[in-house]
Amino acid sequence: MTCDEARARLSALLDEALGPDERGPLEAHVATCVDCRRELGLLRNTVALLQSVNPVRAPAGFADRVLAAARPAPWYRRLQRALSLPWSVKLPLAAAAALLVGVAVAHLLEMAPELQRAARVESPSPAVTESQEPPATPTGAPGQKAKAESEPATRERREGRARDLADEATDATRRRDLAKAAPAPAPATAPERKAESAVGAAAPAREPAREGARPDAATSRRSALRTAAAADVSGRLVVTDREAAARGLTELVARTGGAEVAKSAGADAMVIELTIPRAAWSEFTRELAALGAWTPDREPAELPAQVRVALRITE
Amino acid sequence: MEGRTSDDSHLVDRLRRGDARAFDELVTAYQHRVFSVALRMLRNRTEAEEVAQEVFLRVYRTVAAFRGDAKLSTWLYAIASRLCLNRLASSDRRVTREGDETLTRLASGDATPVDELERSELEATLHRAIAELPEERRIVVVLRDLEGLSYEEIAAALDLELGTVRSRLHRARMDLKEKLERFLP
Repeated sequence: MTCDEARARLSALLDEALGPDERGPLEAHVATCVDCRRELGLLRNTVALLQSVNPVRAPAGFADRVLAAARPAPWYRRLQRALSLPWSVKLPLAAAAALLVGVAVAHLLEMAPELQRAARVESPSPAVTESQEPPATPTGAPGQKAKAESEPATRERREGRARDLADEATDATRRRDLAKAAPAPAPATAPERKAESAVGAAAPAREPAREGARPDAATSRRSALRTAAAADVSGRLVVTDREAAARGLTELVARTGGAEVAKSAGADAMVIELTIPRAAWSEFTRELAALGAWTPDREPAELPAQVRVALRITE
Repeated sequence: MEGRTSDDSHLVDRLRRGDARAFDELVTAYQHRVFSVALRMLRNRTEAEEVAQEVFLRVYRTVAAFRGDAKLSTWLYAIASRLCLNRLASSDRRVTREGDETLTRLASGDATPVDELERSELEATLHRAIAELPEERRIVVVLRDLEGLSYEEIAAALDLELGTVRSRLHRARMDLKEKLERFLP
C-alpha cells in the first residue's frame, strides 16, 4: 500500500468504518510508516477537537413556536379574533343585519311571483287549517276549494305587507324631501311628524350614513372570510407600520411578478390577497420576513404554479 | 442500516395516528439536534430557526408517508440537510456573519478567564473553519463529527454512496486539520 492510498483511508480507520480486507493492509502500513502514523495522530486530534465543540441548543420557546405553527386555531376562529368587536358594536350590527335580511326577503317576494307561489305550496295557509273538515272526511273538493279561496287572500296579505314596507320607505324619502324643501311643518303633518321635523334634517341625514356603514362592514367581513378560505397559503404578518408594510408588499408583489387580488382593511387588521408565481415563492417569503414577523398558518407541501396568498397584516 | 429503535418506532406509530402528544415529544426530543444542524450550515440563528421549524412541520404533514425502514432521526436529519442545502443554493440568499458571533459565545462555563479566552478562541477558529468548508463537505462533517451519525446513516440522509460519504468526510477533516494546526498537540 502506498502512502497516498493509506492516507485516503485514515479517516475511515479512525471511525472503524473499514472492512477487514482494507483495515489489515492499512494498519500494517501505518505501523511501518512514520509520516502516515504522524498524519493519523493529527487527524485523530482534529476529530477530537471537533467532537469537543459545545453542543448547540435550540432557542428558548422554539418547541412552543413549532407546536403553535403545527396546530394553529382554525382559520375562522383566528379571523373572528382578528375582527372581534365589542358587544356594544356587535349587537346593533346583528340587529341591522337581521333587519336587512327581513327587508330583502320581503322585497324578493314582491319581485318574484314564483317565489310567492313556492312559499304558499310549502307552508299551508292558516285558512286551510281553519276550514278543514273533521279528520274522518277524506280530502276532497271542499278542502281544495277552501285552499283555492285562501290563495288570493294570502297573496293579498303578503302583497299588502310588502306594499306597506315600500310605502313606508317612500314616506320616509318624501318626509326627508319635505324637510329639506320646506323647513316649516306642512299643515297636513301629524303631531309625531312635527316632532320628527323639529330635530330637523339632522336625523334623516344621520340615518342613511349609519345604514350605509352597516352593510359595508358586513360585506368586508364576508369577503375576508372568502379570501382566507380560497388561499393556498395564509398567515399573519406583524408589522410596526401597517401602511408602510402594505406599500412594501405592493412593491414586493410587483418585483416577484405577482398580483394583488383583493384588499380589505378592518379596525385592527388589513387582509390582502395576492397571487405569487411559484418560481418566485422563496424570494417572496424571504422578502416578506423583512417587512415584518411572518407566521404562515397554512402552507401546503406542493404549491400550485400561481400561489394564492391571504395575508393578515396587524401591528 | 440500523433498524429503528423501539421507542422511535412507537413514536412514529403514534404520530401516524395523529396523537397530539407524540408530536410534542418529537419536537422536544429532536429540537436541539435539528436546530444545531441548521445553525452549523446556515450560520444565522433566524434562518436556522426558520429551517428547523420547517423540518418539524414537514414531518407533521408527511409522517403518513414515512418509510418504516429508516430511522426517525435519519429522516429528520435528511429533511434538515436538504432544506439547508436548498437554502444555501438559492442565489440571492442574504449572507450575514451573525452566526459566527453567535457560535463564539458558546464558551464553556466553569473555566478560568484565561482558559475561557483560549477556549473561545479555539471555538471561534473551529466554527470559522467549519463554516469555510464547501457545503457538501460541511454537511458530512457536521453530521459525522458534531452529530455522531454513522457513515450509513449519512449516506441514507444525504442520498449518497458510502464511498462518497467517506471521501467527502476525509477531505473535510484534512482541510480542518490544516486550519486548526496551531491548536493540535
